[in-house]
Amino acid sequence: MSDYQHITHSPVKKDGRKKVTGTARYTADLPLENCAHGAVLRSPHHHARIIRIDTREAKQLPGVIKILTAEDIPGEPIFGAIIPDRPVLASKMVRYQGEPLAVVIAEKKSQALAAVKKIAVEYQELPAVFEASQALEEQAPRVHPDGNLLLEYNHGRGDIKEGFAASEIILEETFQLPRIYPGYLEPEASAAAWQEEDETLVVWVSSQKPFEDRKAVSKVLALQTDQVHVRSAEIGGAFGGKEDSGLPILAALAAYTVKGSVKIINSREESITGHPKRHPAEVHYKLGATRDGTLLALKVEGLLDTGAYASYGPAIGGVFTEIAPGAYRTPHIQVSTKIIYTNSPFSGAMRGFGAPQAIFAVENMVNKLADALDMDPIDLRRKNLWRKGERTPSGVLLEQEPSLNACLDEVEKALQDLRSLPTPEGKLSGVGFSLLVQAMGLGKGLPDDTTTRITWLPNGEVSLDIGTPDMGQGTLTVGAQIAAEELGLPYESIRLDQLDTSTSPDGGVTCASRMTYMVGNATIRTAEAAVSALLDQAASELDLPRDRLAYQSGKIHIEGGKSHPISAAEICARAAEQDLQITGEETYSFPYPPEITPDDMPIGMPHIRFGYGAHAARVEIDPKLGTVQVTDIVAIHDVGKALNPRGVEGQIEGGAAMGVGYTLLEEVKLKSSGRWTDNLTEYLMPTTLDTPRIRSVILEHPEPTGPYGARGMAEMSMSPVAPAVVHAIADAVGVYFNAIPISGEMITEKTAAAQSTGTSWQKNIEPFPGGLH
Amino acid sequence: MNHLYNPRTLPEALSILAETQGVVIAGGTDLIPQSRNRQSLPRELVNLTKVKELQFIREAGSWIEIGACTTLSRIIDAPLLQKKAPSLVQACSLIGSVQTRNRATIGGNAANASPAGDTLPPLLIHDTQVALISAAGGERMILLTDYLQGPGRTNQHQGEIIRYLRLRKLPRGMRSAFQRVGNRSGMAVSVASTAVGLLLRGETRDEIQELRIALGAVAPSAVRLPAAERKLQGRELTRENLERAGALAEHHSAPIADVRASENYRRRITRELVVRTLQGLSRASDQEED
Amino acid sequence: MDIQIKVNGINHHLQVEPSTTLLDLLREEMGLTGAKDGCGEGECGACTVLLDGDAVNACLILAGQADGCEVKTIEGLSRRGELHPLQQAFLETGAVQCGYCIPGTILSAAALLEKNNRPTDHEIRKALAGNICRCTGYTKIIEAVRSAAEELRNV
Repeated sequence: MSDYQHITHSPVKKDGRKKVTGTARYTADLPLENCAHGAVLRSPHHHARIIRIDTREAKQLPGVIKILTAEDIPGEPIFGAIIPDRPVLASKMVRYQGEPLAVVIAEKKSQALAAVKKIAVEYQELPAVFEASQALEEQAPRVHPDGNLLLEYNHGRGDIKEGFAASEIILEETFQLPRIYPGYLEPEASAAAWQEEDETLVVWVSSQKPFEDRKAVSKVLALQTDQVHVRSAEIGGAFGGKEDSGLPILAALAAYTVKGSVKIINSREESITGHPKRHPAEVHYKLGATRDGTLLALKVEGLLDTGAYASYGPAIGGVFTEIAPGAYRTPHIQVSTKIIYTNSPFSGAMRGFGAPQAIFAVENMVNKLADALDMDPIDLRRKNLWRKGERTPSGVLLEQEPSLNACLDEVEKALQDLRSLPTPEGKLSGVGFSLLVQAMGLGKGLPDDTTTRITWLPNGEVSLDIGTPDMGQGTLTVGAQIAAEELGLPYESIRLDQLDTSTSPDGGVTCASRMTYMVGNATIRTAEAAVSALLDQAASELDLPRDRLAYQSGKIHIEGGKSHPISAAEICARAAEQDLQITGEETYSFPYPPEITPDDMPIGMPHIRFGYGAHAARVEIDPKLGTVQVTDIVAIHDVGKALNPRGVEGQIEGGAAMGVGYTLLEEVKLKSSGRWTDNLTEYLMPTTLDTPRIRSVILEHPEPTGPYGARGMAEMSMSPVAPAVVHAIADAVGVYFNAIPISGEMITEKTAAAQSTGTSWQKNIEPFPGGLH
Repeated sequence: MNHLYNPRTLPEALSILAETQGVVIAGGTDLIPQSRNRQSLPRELVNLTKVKELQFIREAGSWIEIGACTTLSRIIDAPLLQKKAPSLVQACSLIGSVQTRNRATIGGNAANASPAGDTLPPLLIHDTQVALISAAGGERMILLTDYLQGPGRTNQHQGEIIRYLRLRKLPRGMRSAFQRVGNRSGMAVSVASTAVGLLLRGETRDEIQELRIALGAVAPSAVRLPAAERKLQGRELTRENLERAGALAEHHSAPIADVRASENYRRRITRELVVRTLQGLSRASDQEED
Repeated sequence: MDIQIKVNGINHHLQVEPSTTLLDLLREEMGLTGAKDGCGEGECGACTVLLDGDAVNACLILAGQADGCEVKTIEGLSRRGELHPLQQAFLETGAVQCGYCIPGTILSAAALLEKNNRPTDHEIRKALAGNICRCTGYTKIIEAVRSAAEELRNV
């Protein structure tokens, strides 16, 4: 089936066995001796001035060791992923409900929680603003002194006026996208231990960016970077939400202050309100085309609500700006994106990083345009797709033919299959689809490097250190497969250790669908370096010229001699006896070749390596109750090369299910009680019964710069779901929804009105097959 | 919280309740989540899950008695209830998850008195009585409709516990069913629910001899709709009359708007659920059942 | 308070605080951290264990309520290093990603297969509806349970 021994296969995951036997240690599971527990006092107010924090009574409670406030911070009291705007502990002002003000350290968690309640805080409440559009108004409460507009991108090409003037049809729509919570099963947790003997602080994290956490912690504590050792525990899911140093900093501060060990484990409530969520967005689109369906002009105005603090908002706005026009060669484009502060819990990285909002809007626009022109939405797309040799809206020169047409071919087949499924009595069914373009990597101008290391062990096996945490998606496994492939060793001979910033190479942040690409490319090079180092050692050990030695599959062959090959293990064992380490270490830097990369964009833009895909969806709707069941998703993704096919399917299936939640169920919203949705009784994620049958169609049009042709894809499986389901709902009931999540209530409201006027984009399908009796 | 009592017998449980400030806990599936990480648990709890006398399902003449600490899973698996109280079995199987149903008890669902408690509409169409017992006052029996006093409020006195629920068997030939809508397919709280009992008569079985309708999640407590039921008694089984039953149900519902749904939506789907449940029952009615 | 509890086949006589949950007892007092704390309100299923053979959320049970009961956790599922067919199937199908939901999900599946070794996909979905997984979209989890059921029928 393939010429490869390891890649393109799906071996049992390296971290699998410990996870199915319950022995994997997540941060909360770590057995730490004499470990105290931290609990965080969080603001009940959305916006208030802090007059006084009185900890006297709380300090007297049993078990309380210390109560930390901003005064206890030895170094920088402010941090931030991109912009330092977020207090470690609020001391003057709270800007969202859930913002940390103090940490109680006590012998037991229950004691810490009890003491938190006894801290008396005097607040002066201030007016708050929760909607991005309102936050821009003149009289709106100011979240930060410099105003609520954090950043604005304006990107255009062509002449937008001319484009609309030449258009024969113009559509305008406004879309509303919700604030959603990543919903990883493991709430954030961090533990830290001060080691007096060498004056170092060990910090265990459930984090996508241990090296960034190390920097952040050392700044706040005014320590040298090498005094802080950040270790990755097992990570119980992340999806972008664990690109946040907030909790590691608090645990580190606590342990450092008491010169001991402290663990802080968030409750689900704290996790929902106090950690990153996807940016809610209000997006206005104006699209012009000719009557034959040629796209001419697109004007986009996007408002992204970053909440009380910037987090990754600026970068997310950049991705939104780039992806807003979709994979279409519209000649006249103008995109304006505003990142706005509000008094909502802050938004940050989450699977897709600005792209899901853009894909939702642009794909809906194109589907609506097809309806308006009475065109097949597949044909309409085919007319306007990106092409080899042309530049994308952000100016990237496409050197390869994008696989968009191949994706649409698969969509056609999938729709045919889905349309043939029987509709149960009393239900309406519909099918729809969405196209997808999304990029991987951090973007031009940002350091986007991954270093991996391979060390030969005395028994001839190797240890691989990829320098980035595996949050469950399987980077460690894919890294091991690549190392095994390159070294010709059994998969079992590749040993992996948990990341420790004091010993591991820096693999960069686990994000941006970059891991397979970056770790893969780095590891291929590292393996070569490791072989070279082994041969150097063998040459000196055997006293032979280096060029007579050749490595293959764990053995060193000697050219021209009659002797048998020598095992790598023998050389490694001899080196170990002399305390010599045989190691290869290489860095791969994400390439941004000047010939294809424009240099007129802000830092972090553009992204130049794209992934393509499409999803087809089928829904069944109970029109009177409004209930929508997504029965099927066919998820088509061009992954370049599936290095671990089951792993790829796993990413697709997980993203598709998360997309169903985004479309139909999930939203963190401000309730009439004045509190945010903060529990899993109200924040509903899809269960087994809400998740459709998901079929993955994996295309392999190689990415020339990718390892074996592979490209990243982990985020991309979520974005097409919402527009595909919206399209399918429109097919079933004749109404497009511009806002998600779509509740049963919204369906019943709209369907009644649409029954008479309903149009279905599938002209061969009756809008109301069967109907109710 | 500083004490958990684990009585093994009913008299032991009652005397603990009489002598302490203890609050009853059974499956804990409502009490523990409500305690916000156990920070607000009552000082003393009396655990009833060890009291075997409170776990039973039995026939007693024209009644079925279900011990208060019978779990929802036991109810779902009980052949007697599958046959004689299908709407209750249907409701129980839609509550929470397997994990919840293995712990949650029918007495707990009643005592929690949530407007959205899914066992309540089925119990109401069975004219259920609540057998309460205390050390001081002995045993008393009250109608479930009188027991439920509003969201989280019941007619249960200090020191009293539910001993069992007493369901009147449905009239011979009456069929019953439960339907609901939640915001998610798995593990959801009902946005609206209904239990309906339908008895037909006449040679072609096209006359409504008796109708029972109870609603959940659309009033401060789950409610029976006697007025609506009476209006349709003796009427012909027509689409029009089924619609009328739905309209009456909508008319008698008094829902609130909350994070899960608006008033209007609750009303609208209540109507639809009642019509649909009746429709299902009337269609099934040509297959004779004991 | 004093309790007697049998965990993974071993009897224990323990002193617990009345407000301690079964989950706290397992994780903090007994070092059995396979059961996870995901929400504390019975909504995620990460803390699922078997109590007298039934799948339950250990976060909603006070340790004192488990007095006299038998508990099985994920640590007790494999025998002498030999994986249970469910564990093996989860590995082989690729049903494990972050793994946080996996111990609970496997135990829910084990309780199902104990009663029904020929479940339909819908029965599997119903049995696992209380175990939220955010990584996998459940597809491979369902495949794993199906395949373990077959394995169990053949032994």
